[in-house]
Amino acid sequence: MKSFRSIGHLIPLFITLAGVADVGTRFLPLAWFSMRLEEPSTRYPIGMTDLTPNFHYDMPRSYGDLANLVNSPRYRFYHRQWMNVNGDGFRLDGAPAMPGKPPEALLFGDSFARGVSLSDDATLAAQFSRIPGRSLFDSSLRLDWGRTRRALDYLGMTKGTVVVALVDRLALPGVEEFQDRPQRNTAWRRFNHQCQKLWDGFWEVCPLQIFSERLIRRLQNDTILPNPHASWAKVETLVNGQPMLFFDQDIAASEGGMVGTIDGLLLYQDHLRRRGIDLLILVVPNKYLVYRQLIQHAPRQSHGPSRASRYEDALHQAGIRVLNLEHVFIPEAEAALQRGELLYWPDDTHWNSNGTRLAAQALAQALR
Amino acid sequence: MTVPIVIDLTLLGFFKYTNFFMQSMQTALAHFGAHSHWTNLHILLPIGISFYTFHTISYIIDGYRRTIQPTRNFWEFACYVSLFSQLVAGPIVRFRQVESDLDHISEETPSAFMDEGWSFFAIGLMKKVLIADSLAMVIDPALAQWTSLSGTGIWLCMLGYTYQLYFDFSGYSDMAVGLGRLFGLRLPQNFNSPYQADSPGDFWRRWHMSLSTCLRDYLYIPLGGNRGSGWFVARNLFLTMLIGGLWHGANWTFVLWGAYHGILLIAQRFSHGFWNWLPRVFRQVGTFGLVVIGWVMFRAPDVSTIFGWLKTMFGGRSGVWPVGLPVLLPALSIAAVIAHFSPNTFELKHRWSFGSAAAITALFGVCMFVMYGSHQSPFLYFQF
Repeated sequence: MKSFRSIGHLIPLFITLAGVADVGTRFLPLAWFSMRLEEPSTRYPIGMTDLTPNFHYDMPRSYGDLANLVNSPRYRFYHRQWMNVNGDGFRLDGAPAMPGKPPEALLFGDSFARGVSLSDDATLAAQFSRIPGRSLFDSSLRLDWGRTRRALDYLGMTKGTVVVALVDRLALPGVEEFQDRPQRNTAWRRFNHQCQKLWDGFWEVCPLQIFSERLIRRLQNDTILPNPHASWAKVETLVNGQPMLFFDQDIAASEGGMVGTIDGLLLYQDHLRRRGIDLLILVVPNKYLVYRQLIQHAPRQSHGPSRASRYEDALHQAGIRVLNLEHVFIPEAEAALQRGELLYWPDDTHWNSNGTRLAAQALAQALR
Repeated sequence: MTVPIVIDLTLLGFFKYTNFFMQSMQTALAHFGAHSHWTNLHILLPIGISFYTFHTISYIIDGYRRTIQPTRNFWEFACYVSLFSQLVAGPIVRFRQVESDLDHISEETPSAFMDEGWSFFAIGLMKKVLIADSLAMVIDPALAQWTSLSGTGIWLCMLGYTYQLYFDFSGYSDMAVGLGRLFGLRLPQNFNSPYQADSPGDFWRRWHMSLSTCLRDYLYIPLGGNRGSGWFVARNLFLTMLIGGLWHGANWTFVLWGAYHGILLIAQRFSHGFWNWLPRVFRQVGTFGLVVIGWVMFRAPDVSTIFGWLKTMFGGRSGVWPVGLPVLLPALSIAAVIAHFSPNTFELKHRWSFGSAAAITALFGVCMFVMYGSHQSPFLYFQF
């Protein structure tokens, strides 16, 4: 017994226990440790989409990605967020998938399209589908041709529109995303793919690591320790005195030139046309572009067209239907601020339910 | 003997120094008006190449000098050269130091070795994670924006780096020694409280001892060592330290650092007893100060930054302090007490009571927890 009290036994015993704790905590729901639902909802994407099938969670105190970046609780804007995913992995927010009754439009795109930081009743698809007689299905998928083809087949869509929401911060998708590769979706490949996703989801996320990171980040408050991420987000005050966080990449992107080419989207449009489907690109302006004129002591006036406008012009000239929400959001942001409302979360890069409602109305007009 | 050593050095030179020499040559030619445009080669540096080159060279020379009996067992040789625990950052092990242990490597490791091994490993990990990385979290971002720092701020950062480097590197060596013990191998001591040294020569007998002895045995003595006139000895000292500096990396900053230490060793040698006449505490403080200034050259990314830092440190410029003083000051204090006044890991007995063993295990747990949440923090000597 005495020998087990030596350091040569205590440390190996501790390492064994730590290993058991590491593995054991991975079985706990990830939403317990997360600041929002996007990360836990994408942990085991073994269905048809990038979401975990049958994921249901209601988080009472979700907060924004920028508040997490600047690492200061005083900028957090806590709000409730709930999310439900069906057995195939589609989010239950917009129009439901009904056999023989395909929706009017199918939504793809980045985090704005997927409704990051929003509950099921506040996403773009939900707001659009709430307009009487309109229906928009949220594909919950990243944009590429293979995924689009799967979603179109799933819904039985042979007419209507595919809406692609793209925030101007990001580059236009490349041609390689839309290559028409043959499908080899055998049962074995599906099984193999699902096993791989389960394995990755289990081992890539470690709750003990999240605990440890949180503790260290709590110390990285630019007083006890330097905050290495502080420069990623900038705190500004709006003309009504409200503080708002902005992402540094948004600030850089607001007046930047085009990133990427439209060749990929042209190829995508060709694929869709062969199936009788229309394409509409919804250009989402980043938060800084919308609010920069409403910041106290506004840093500078705009010089030349915004990146969102450049995307709009290029797509329009190439014959792709485009709706640039910049023209709707910039005037409405000022009017909303006078009412004490915002179109984007103050602590997040994404839009809130006011923003999605406005976007849904503009989209409904465009698709009429 | 010459052929295998030339092959070894050619490989090291190709992987580590090709681009450095090409760039230097280009700069030199540009000074004479000959502009050339050689593109840098994309050479992937094999990890730990400096260390296992030294291993093989020492094996060849010791075998040639009949200091060791070359092994006929290929696996024993391979194990000696590529022993994972010390492969990437030392200590540089001579074959004779582990020869007898390698003969018995298949036998069961004694429990006393296990206790010692875990004790060395845990202490090394604590030195790295709790002290070196805490200091790095403050000084790395501060030095990245050094132009806004005050002179005192840069002094604090360089003091922090002085301790960071020691605790990082000696922590790694302790962990390597500990892992070696777990496999029944007794790896040599690499640090003997170097910041308690009372002269530059004493510092080099205590800092990275395995490298210092290699440089002495395979470079300084073959160059002539202490024999010959004063100028001849000075030349040998200077060349040895210059090459030692270059061994650390393909950058003029390391060459300057080596030359600086060469000059210090020459100055000590020709001070004709004046240095030894000073009280020991003055010699210790003076040596430490000179070493800190040397680390400025070691840490700076380029030569112009060295002069920028030194100008700010000695010019007393006003500016901001590093962010993170609540961590930096206690970490500096703890590091200073351990480095200057405490016994080093090899001076400890490693026979712990249950309470001490439990406390070390708890601190080991803290290290693991911190490592979970920290971004990757590679050992500083991995790059050499």
